[in-house]
Amino acid sequence: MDGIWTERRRRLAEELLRRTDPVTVTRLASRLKVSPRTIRYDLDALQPWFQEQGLQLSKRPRRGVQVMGPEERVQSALRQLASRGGNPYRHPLRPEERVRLILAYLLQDAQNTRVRVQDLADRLGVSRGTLLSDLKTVEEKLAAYRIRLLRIPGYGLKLDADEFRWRQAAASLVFSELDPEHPDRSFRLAEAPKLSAPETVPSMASLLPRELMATIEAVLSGFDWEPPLSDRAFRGLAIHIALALLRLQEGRGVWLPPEQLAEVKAKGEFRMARRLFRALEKRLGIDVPESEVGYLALHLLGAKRGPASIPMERSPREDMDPPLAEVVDRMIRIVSESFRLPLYLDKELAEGLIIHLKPVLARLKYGLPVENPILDDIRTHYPQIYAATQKAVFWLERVVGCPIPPGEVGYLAMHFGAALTRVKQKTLSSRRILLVCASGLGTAKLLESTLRSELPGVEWIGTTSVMQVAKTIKSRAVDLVISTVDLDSLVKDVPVVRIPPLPGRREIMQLKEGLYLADSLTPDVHLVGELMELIQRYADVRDADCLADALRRWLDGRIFFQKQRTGRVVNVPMLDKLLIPDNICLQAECHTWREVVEAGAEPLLRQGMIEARYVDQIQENLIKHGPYMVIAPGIALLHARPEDGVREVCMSLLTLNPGVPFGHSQNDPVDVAITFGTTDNESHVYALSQLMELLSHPPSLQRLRKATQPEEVIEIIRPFVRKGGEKE
Amino acid sequence: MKKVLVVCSNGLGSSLMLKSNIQKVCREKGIDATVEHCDLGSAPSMIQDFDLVVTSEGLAGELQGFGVPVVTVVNFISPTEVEEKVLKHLQ
Repeated sequence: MDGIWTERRRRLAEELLRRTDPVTVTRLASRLKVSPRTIRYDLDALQPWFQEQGLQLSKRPRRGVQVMGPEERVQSALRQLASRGGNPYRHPLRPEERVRLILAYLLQDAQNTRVRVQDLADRLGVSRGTLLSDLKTVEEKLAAYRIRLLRIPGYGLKLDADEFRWRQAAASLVFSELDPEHPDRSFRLAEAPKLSAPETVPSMASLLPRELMATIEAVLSGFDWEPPLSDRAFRGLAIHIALALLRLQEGRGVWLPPEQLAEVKAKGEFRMARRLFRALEKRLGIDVPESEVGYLALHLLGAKRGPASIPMERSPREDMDPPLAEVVDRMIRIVSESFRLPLYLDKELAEGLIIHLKPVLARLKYGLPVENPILDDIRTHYPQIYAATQKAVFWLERVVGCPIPPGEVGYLAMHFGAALTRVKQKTLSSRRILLVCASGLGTAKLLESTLRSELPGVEWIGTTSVMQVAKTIKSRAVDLVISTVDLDSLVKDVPVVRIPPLPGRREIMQLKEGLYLADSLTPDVHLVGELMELIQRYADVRDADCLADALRRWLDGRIFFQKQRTGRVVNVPMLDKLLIPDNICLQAECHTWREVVEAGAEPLLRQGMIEARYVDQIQENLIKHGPYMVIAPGIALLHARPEDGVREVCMSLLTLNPGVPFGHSQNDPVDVAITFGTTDNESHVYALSQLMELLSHPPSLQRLRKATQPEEVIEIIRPFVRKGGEKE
Repeated sequence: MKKVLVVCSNGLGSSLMLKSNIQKVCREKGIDATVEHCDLGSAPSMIQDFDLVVTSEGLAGELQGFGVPVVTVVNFISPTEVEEKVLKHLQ
């Protein structure tokens, strides 16, 4: 049935369906500009289709032909016809189609002749009002090329554009008429099928002669592009060259300011452009002036290069200005932070962005516009990625010193989007993860639910204790162990990633990094081997075994990230930040160890740093495990676990006069009680080790015991803060 | 290089103090040793990998029988006690 359809028959069927009265064959023939006989043949061919639609084609002599049948059948037949695609003449044009046609018309005619609004409206078959509102959109589009649309009363419309801007606008219009994402259109213009556009307003693309395009494309294909041109870039170049040649024939050459021409002439792209035109000059017997070569070189500078996934001989970073690599790095960090995913581990992203940014910067510098036909799609479908990219772009804008148009942001967002997918996939796909938590059940549950939400898509085997971990791994297939404690000796074959029981943003990020790296680096035997080979090629190694061992350890450190000392210091409070005057109580009088615990916790409780249950837990621990918290003669270190109700890292100092017995066989009575709370295994380590230094320094301890004013204690603490901070 | 495991019931306070103390003494005496700390619950699973366990008297009983010597310390912040009791195991 499909074989019957031609564009003419489609129009004929539609004409008949839309009419409510009979029409003669002669009239139909004149409307469709064919003979009555052709119409009769067409009607015969269409008859079975009408029947299939539940309609009847009645033919009566002299009165004419008419489609008979229920209205809903007619409507459904019309819908079917519409789905076959149509002639813009018959179907109302969509607004964006109208805008495109108006642009084509204005660019072709409004430079030398006047264009009247009414003429335009008639040609497009719309009202004057519709056309005027379309013109607003057209004006905006033209403004992107810095072209003004002049409305001169009593004259009509005129374009205010020099040749440079005209070429930019015309090329991008041709480009948009040939949507490269459209599968049924070849990206080579010479092979593109004819476009259906109203005959009265020819499209821009139809102005470019096929033979000329074929010649240009042959020359372009013959060149060795390194890196390769993308399809879009190939087409863009062909269009620019064709427009240049056509405009030259009309005596409309492009003009570049001398200083800009001189600058461009120094670039490799200028030599490339000259070679291209030389090849064409020979074939076409024309003469191309230098300014045209410069113009094409500008276009080459701004042209997109091919897909970055093709491995390149040379790392693009090498011949890059260092700032660009830095800019890219910074942008990647910003987006990584937004998504809490380690995008900076994805090499392809940095390389892709550097290749991408070079022409972007050229476009910005020379004011070349960028076309992004899928910008709206990107914004709609990936709003988060677009927003994060925009954040990164704010920074780029500061570096380049000019605003970056949304089209460019959209392209950058695509790079980030692709990297996000890669990193997510590599990090999370098909991992079976076992969680080992040495803390109480509450912490384990909280940690597990945190991790579940942070790492969607992984398979959780469950949470187990240190005692059970080896057994669990044996009985279940485990790809990775996440642990709150060091499992070094227990788990041999499965990578282990450490995490504090209550991980912060930084730890989560590190965990994701670890997951990402664990994938590629776990079987690092090969990696160490490769590194060794490389090193031995350029250096004499004194002790190969030792070096291999050191390399392995270093890699392990990268994979199973351990304490990142430099990074951590920022978050970890020093002793003087914790022991502030408010938390110091001196020469207090307590009768029982219970009172000591309560008095020591009081300032922390009052400030909301710990909960009441934390105090109960300390007392309970002392009853259960004995006075183990009395760590030295007269000194008690009172604490429970983070999950027992600690809101932030905190510490208090209480000195007692007289001392209070805690039931310790040798260290009683206690006259210095330090109460602390910590949110994880590590946040308190600096403060505690500084405190240790102080307490093991007899003169300082002596002064501390005698102190009556908090300020004295602050003085005593000060030297140990500096000392300890440097050391760890 | 010897490996020392310091154990206390929570693995947060006293073991950390004692660990710093031992590390400090080792540094001063030029002894190369790795010192780790942990809580009583994690200790049994880790103990095998260490050459020495240091803890308080109250916990010593639970850490014996793993084939690793256990040393008890009364004053966790005293360098003297560490020198007397711990160092001889590290030489």
